Amino acid sequence: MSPDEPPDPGSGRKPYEKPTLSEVALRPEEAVLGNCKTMGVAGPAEGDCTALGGCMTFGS
Amino acid sequence: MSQELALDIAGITIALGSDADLPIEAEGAARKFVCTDRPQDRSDFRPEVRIRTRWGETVEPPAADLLFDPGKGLWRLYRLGHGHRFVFTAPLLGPLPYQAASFNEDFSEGEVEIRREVFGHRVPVYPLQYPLDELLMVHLLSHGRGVEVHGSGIVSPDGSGTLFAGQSGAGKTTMAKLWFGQPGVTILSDERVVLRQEGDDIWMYGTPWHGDGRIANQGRARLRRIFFLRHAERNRIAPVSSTESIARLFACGFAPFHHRAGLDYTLQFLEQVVNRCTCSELGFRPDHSAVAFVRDN
Repeated sequence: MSPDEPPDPGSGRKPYEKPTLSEVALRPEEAVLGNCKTMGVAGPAEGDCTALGGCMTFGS
Repeated sequence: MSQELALDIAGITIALGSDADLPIEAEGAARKFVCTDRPQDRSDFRPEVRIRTRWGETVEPPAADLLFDPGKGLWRLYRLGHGHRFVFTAPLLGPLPYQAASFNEDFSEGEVEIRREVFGHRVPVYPLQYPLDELLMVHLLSHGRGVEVHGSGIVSPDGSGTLFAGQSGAGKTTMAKLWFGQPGVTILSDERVVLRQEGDDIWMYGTPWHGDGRIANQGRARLRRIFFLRHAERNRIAPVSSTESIARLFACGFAPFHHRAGLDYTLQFLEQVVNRCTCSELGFRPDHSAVAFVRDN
């Protein structure tokens, strides 16, 4: 069916819709683990953490 | 303090053990996910994952075996025979890895090595300290168990779950705080939840990995609705197509980018999630009108 043809009401098929392209942002820094959102450093390196590795806030 | 520990995160049981000279215990929000009934003492205990912890040399494999490097120098993943080896470094702790963890192919068995020079005076130690705990979970999930996503998880008084998904700055913690204290409402997390399928239902689980709101609770709920968050001048819900919903969830999720089969599974799983839940975009004002708006729509 071409875009200009009206849909056949008896066919039960959806009318043609032109494909669209939309972008969804993938943020690499959030898609992989290893940063602390608050400190910017992994747990053990940051003295303010609750314990050696106790990150208070995990990176997004 | 214990030489044995069992965790239950998103319905996955992880048994941790250590050598006699290395006391271990959970720390931070992970404490909420410790199995308090000590299932490791029962003869019929069958955890999905068994991990041994010991003092070790934390040797980094040769560069030729590198599988994935996220680029921040904090951890790297190497091929180790048919298995995997994570190596963890931190600038303040010197050039040598402070911790390493080796796992078999399906991550059901592993060994954590901890450098005594770094941790020897800070025992007991939590063997799965971040980011190892979350890396392990992401890989376990990608072997047919589910997906972890950035999102705040709310359980309504009727027991149904709503996921407010979004990348950093979208308003996950803000939304969780708005729901905090609402009668009959439970908040599973303000930052990360795990999604798993059971029969025809998608279940949303709380995780230890909280955000600024520090909300991390063990529990789960059948997931009914997913809102992709964005801040707005007024509260508004807009439909999102299935295809775009899968893409948006993927962008909010964690997947093993080095593992083709894991990526394939993740996308297939997210399609199941979208087919079983109502997905919309929620523009919201950061006040309690957003809670009433979501309840009424």
